[in-house]
Amino acid sequence: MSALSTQVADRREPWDDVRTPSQWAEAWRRLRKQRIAMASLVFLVVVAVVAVFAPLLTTSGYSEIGFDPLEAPRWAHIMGTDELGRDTWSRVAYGARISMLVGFGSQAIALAIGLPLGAVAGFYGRWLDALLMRATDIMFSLPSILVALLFVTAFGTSVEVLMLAIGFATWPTLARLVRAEVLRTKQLEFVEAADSIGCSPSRVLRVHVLPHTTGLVIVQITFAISQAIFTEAFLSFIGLGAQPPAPSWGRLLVDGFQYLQTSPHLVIFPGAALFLTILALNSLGDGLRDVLDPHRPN
Amino acid sequence: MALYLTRRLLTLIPAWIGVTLLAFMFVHSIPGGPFDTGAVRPPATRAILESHYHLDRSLPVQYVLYMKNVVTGDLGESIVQPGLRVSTVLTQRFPTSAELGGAALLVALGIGVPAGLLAATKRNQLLDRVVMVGATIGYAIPNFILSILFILVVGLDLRLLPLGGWGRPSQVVLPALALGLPWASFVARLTRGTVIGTLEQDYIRTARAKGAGPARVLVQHAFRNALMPITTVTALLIAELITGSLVIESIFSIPGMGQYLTNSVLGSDYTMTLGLIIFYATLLFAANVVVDLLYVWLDPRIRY
Repeated sequence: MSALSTQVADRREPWDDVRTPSQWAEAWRRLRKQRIAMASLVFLVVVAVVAVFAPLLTTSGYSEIGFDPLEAPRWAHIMGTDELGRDTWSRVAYGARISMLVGFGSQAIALAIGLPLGAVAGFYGRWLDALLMRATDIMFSLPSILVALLFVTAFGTSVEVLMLAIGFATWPTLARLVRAEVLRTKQLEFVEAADSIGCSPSRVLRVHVLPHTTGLVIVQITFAISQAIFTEAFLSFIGLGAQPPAPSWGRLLVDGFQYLQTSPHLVIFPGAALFLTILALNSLGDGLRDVLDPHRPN
Repeated sequence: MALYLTRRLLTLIPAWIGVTLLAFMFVHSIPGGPFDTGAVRPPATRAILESHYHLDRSLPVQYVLYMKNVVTGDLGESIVQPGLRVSTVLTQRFPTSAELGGAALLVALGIGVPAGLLAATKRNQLLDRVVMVGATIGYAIPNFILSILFILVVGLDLRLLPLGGWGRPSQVVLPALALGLPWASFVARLTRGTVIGTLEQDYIRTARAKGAGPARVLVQHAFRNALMPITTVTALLIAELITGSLVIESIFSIPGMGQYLTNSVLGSDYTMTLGLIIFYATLLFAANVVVDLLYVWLDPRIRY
């Protein structure tokens, strides 16, 4: 009897040696083949490095004055100087900090609100679902920029409030996406299987249903970060974003706008930084959607 | 149909009340009241002013008093500029903003839809690539950067079009393009995606098999189905164009509503801010109902 069970345990099948890569390793392998998405990822890493190490990469502080004002780009000031004689490169580099913080921070907040609400509404349904859907209806009927605008005027314009404002204005999209995906996933056989072997509903949700939404959430977040950076720039442009002397990219644009004819470098460099970052985030999002979205054929 | 419409309108009521309540709470959490302008007033005057605008009452009472007027169509008057009625601002300024928004919507759909259709029919060919690269870039340019580019190139260098103001048709071109082009890119990508998806359907093969030409297949069969997501997005676009015009109006010195909205928020002009937001929200609710009704007309399979 014991010999038999040893025999069974020892028997090896031909497929035992074939290791299948994990879902994430597979996604990463496919993403690496997409040149535009990879170039975008590299660019975003560079922006992140500039944001983190801004003090080391610049020769003067972002509010340090005293250079010749409105000077065109040359070796000492590769992006020129502004109307107060501040180095534009320093300001663009520190601006990356604000844009990145607002972009990632606001979406962390949106995720913290939207993911649990959407998951619970989709999974448990009934009055909870109805309530959440009405709440998102209300949020959707107010343009998100308007919500952010109200938030900022009510609570001030620090970077933290900007993150909160944009996060609060964008969570409904995420909640709806997660809800729809949870609704779809909970019909699948493996969920029924988990349920029938006695998993509690909360375990089914956490362990079996939620991991299924990860791919879609990552894709949505990538696009939402680019929208958040755009919204911060927009708020700065109408005077409600980061306050001087803090150099957000939108702020730099609106300040430089007055010197458009004589010193276009004040608009071109922050404008290009903003444009390329949004472009890279959108292109990375497109690439991620191709490798992570289960609804898209490959 | 009539039943559906009634039900749809009835469910809007709680949502609409929710919007007004949310907006009311936000507006009143703004620090600094309308009479904190630095002007020295005797306390008695201040008390009279506050009681005239019901500011001495509790917030729930203020809300109810305010909504009583709103329901009868009276959005009240500005607190900061006495005598300036919200409805006056709406009748004087909204047509301008609506013209700009309408022109931008025309740009978004008039350029986006044909470009997307063209890309879908020439899938993976040079023309498709060019359109898609253009659309990816266009969607990443914030409208205020696009405005600056237009002013630099078209206005200052080429001197082709006026840089600001409102009233002549030539003054509409640049702001409408700046506001509409990023969304044209978005619409082009959406149109291409849905048309390509539709072209793979069985009924398209049937249409081809019975001898319909490529143009007829594209317009009569494929495009008709692609209209649904485009219609959905149009409702969202209206909201985006309204808020987008805040910046465009200030860059091109267009006398629209944007300036009133920002100034009223900055100046704690409760009634003005509230009135404008409620107006915007109502407009968006209406747009969504119209879109729902359009579905029925576009897709005979949908019955309410």
